[in-house]
This record gives sequence, C-alpha cells and structure tokens, in this order.
Amino acid sequence: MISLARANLIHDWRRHATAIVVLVLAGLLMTIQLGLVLGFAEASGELKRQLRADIVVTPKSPPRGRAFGFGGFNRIDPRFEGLIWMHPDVAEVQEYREGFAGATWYRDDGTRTSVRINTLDPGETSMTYPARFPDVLRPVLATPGAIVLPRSSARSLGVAVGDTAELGNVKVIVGGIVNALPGGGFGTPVFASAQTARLISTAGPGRFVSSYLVRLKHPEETDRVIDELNAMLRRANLEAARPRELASSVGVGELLATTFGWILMGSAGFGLIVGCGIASQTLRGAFLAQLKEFGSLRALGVGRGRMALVALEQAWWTGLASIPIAIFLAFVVRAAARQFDITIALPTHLIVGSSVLLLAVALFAGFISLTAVNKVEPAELLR
Amino acid sequence: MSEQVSITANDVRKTFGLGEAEVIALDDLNVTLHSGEMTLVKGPSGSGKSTMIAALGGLQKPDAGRVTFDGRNIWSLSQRQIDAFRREQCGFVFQSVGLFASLTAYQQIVLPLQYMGFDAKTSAKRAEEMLDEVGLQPRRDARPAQMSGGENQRVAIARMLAKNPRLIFADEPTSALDSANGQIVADLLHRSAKLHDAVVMCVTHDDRLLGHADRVIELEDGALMKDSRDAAKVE
Repeated sequence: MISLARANLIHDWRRHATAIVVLVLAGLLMTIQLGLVLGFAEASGELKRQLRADIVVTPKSPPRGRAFGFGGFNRIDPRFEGLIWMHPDVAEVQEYREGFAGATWYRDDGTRTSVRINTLDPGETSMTYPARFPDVLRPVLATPGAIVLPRSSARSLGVAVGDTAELGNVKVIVGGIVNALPGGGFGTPVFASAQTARLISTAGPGRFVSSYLVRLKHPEETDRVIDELNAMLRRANLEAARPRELASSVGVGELLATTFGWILMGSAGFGLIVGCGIASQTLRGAFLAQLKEFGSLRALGVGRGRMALVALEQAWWTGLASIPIAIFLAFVVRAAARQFDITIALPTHLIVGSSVLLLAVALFAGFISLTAVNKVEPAELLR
Repeated sequence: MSEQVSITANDVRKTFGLGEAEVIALDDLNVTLHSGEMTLVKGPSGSGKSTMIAALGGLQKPDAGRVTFDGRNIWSLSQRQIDAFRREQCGFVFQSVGLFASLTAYQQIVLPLQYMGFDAKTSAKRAEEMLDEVGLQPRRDARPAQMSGGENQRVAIARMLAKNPRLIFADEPTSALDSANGQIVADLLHRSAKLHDAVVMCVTHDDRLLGHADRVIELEDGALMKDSRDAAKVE
C-alpha cells in the first residue's frame, strides 16, 4: 500500500519541517509546564514520602491546597488517637503537625532571604525524621542552634557546613547539608529541631494535629492493617494509607485549584492553540502546493473524501514525527533544569498523555487544513 | 474487439462572464466522437477546445445541452455519479502532467488504482503492463524530477491507461515536448484508440499530431467549423 502522505512528508520534508517544529515547541511547552507542576508536587510531597511511619492516618477528602501550604491544613480531633491504638497490631502512634514557620536569613553582606523552617524530630524513634537523611545528622539537629539544609537551599543561600548566619534573631550554624530532597518545592527549606525552631521563630508548625503516624508490630502486614483500620475509622471520617500513597495523592489536582496552576495551564493551552494554528496553515500550504497533482487525481475520478484522508494522514505523520523530538527535548530541558535545582517530573503517564494530546492537536490542524481540499478543481488544469 | 462506444454532444452551450464581458465558449455544439478513433480538435486560442473537453469529460457542467454516453445524459447525474463516470470511463492527459514529485513512475500508476479500490496484486500487475506499454519499464523507480518532460507525459498516459478508460481526453499533451517525445506521445494516444478501442479526443495546436489523427475537428468561437476524416485511416 502506497502512502502518498508519508511519501510527501519524506520527499518534501523542508515544507513540513515548519509544522513539525511548531508542534514540537507547543508539545514541549505543554510537557515542561506540566512537568514543572508535577515536579513541584513531587518536591513538595517528598518529606511526606520519606516519613518513617508504616501508616499515616488523615482526614478523608483533604482540603484543597493542603500539600502546598496554601492554608486549609488537616485537623484531626485528638480523641480519635485512641481509636487507632485499639488495633492490636499498632506498636506506636505519633502526632504529626503539618506546616512550617517563616523566618528571614540575614547574610553577611546585608541581603535577606525568606526561608521556611521545617521542624524535625531527630530522636531515634522519630517517624518524621526523613528516611533518606543520614543518622549522623540526628545529634547535629538535636544540638540547639544547629540547622540542616538541603543542597538546593545551601546553594541559594551561599553557605557551606560550619558557616554561621543570623536566622530570625538567632545565630545558627549550618550543621549539615543533605542531598536527600529534590529542589523545586516551595520556598527555601531549612530543617531544625523543635527546640531550635522555637528559638528562631515563635510561629511554629500548626497548632493542630494534622495526622497520626503509625508504626506497626509487623510491618509486613501493612496492607491488611490498612484495610482493617479503614474499616474501623470509616465512621470517624478518617482514612489510613501508606505515606507514599498519601504523598502521591497530593499533586496536580491541588495545584490546579490555585491561580498559579491555572496560569501554568493557561500558557500551555495558549501554546497549543498557537501551535495548532501555525501547523494547520503549514499543512494547508503543503496541500495547496500540490493542487495540480490532486486535480489530476480528481479528474481520474478519485473522490474528495479520499483526498481529505490524504490531508489528514499528512497531519497524522507530521504529529507522529514531532512526538519523539518533543520527548527528547523535554528530557534535555529536565537535565538542564536539574543543574539549577529545578525539579521537572516526566512520568510515563505525562509523556503518554502529552504525546496523545500532541497527536490530537496535529489532527485538529489537519482538519482545519481540509478547506484546501475544496480548492481542488480538475477543470482548472485545462488550458 | 469490444463493443463500439460513442459520446455525443447535443446543443451544448457554455458561456463565461456576464453582460458585456460574456464570452461564448461553446455555441450549441453538436458532435459525436467514436471509439477506435483519435479525434484531433484544433482551433485558435479561446475557440472552446478545452471547454469541450471539460463538458464531454464530466469536469465542468455546460449551461445547456446534453452530453450522452451509454444512453445517459451525464449532466443529469449527481456529483457522485459524475465522479464515478470519470473514474470508470475517463482518462485525462493534461499539459501539466500532474505527477506527484514524491512518487516513482511505478507508484504514480499504482496510487490511483489503489484509491479506486483495485487490490494490490491487480494494481501492481497493471502498473507493470502499462510501464511496458509506454516503454518506461527501465525508469520505473524514477521520480518526476529525474525524468524528461516526455517521459513524465508517458507516465501520465500510463497512469490514465491503467484503468482501461473508454474515453480518453488529452489537452495539449505535446506542446511542452520536443519533436521526438511529441511523436512518441501522439503515437501512444493513437495506439490507445486502436488497441483499447477507446474514444480519443486530443486538443492541440501542434500540427505534428495531424499525421496521427483519424479525424480532425476545427472549432471557432465555440462552434464546429470543419470536420474531416482521413479516409486512408478509417476503415
């Protein structure tokens, strides 16, 4: 079976290159914007992902914006702690308070940076001490006045281990720098023990317990215990989940509930519309350039419907050609962004979704270009 | 020998423009073209030659009159039926050959057959036969840019002949060709009339084609001025 559309695309690739380039740019813009959103969610949810609890108990249907600290934090009635203890496999239950305190970091040169103080419990049995933080930093964090910085914060603040700085009204020392957190979340995080955090700022984490962290006697039984706890807690409107599931359930949807998310999505959508417009005109031009050739086919009795299919197939191949280029470039941009501590997440579902959308945009551009088919008039081939 | 066919124009009239700018392209034309004959249509520019092809070939509807083929007035058919008429009965050769730059000679012939619903095997067989018939088998994999104007015109003829049309319309098929290639193309069209027992109507300014014609029609201002047959060529 000869594919005229494919043959045209290969033979006259320069003409189609314009359509491919605009589709690639539109696709790349969309993928990177969504990747930034997902990367942001990933970075913001990373601390929850690294909780050392087997199970986290939270209220059902968390308020919008919770994951990003836009207000509306969870709140559990402390009386429900007893309910969790009633399960025979529960070994330990700890309160978890979301939120952070803001503070100002003063540099020696007089510049100021707003940072967010995340409180960690460095104790041996702590379930909030992140899983990927080295144990050697526990005593460091426990030292009053010592703080720990993720690499991205250390870079933006321009400090190294052992440096001192004024934070809030207190002189602190950088006790350690960790690579365990991706950059790209909200603000410039700084980790401190509750004791140090209270020295820096009177505003601490949330006053309310936002969830309970649960350690089990037999962690291998986690799935079963989650099912049983969910059955027990249903009437209290609470739900139990693994920390990883909790972290992954907060993400794009919640960010999209914010103006920031809509601006990102809006600009991606605008990029797609512009890409679609330019691609349709390019595809139309490519078809019009072959008006005589299609006219001769029309004279031979080939119907307009068949020609419309050729035009659409041309759009299909153009879209298909742009997908791998857009994906490749998205990974290049991600690698470049990493150098600047910006996390761009490109999970498979995003890549597949973007590719399908790009193909749909190309086909839509093809549909718009179909007006050119009506210009095929075989009688005009006669002198 | 297949059944004798003919196409007849009765009082066919076509005008372009309005009011003072109105031009009569066909002025109540009456003519019948027969299979097995190559009819040459001559006349000065604007005499209505191409409009005659358009009206008889189902490309452009006349303002009045009938064009009868197989007992039916083709201009009383729906657009879809006219498409089918062209698909099943007509072959066209244009001065601008209308070959796709991206396809090889072989693919140019196979593509319309494919679009017309022929299976791959039949399309391939016909394409090879037609390339043989126009003497271009050695150039089967060449694209238009790699071939001369004459070779391209021969590919266009092969593409048209592949669907075995009973009506062949050629519009200035040799005017852009050198003498040798013009002779080859004219010979091919003449042979098509005889070999495929087709009605061949060829519009031209080119007097070199006179030697290949069975019948010569001269048009002027849309009216038939002269209709002559070379007795030596007609049985």
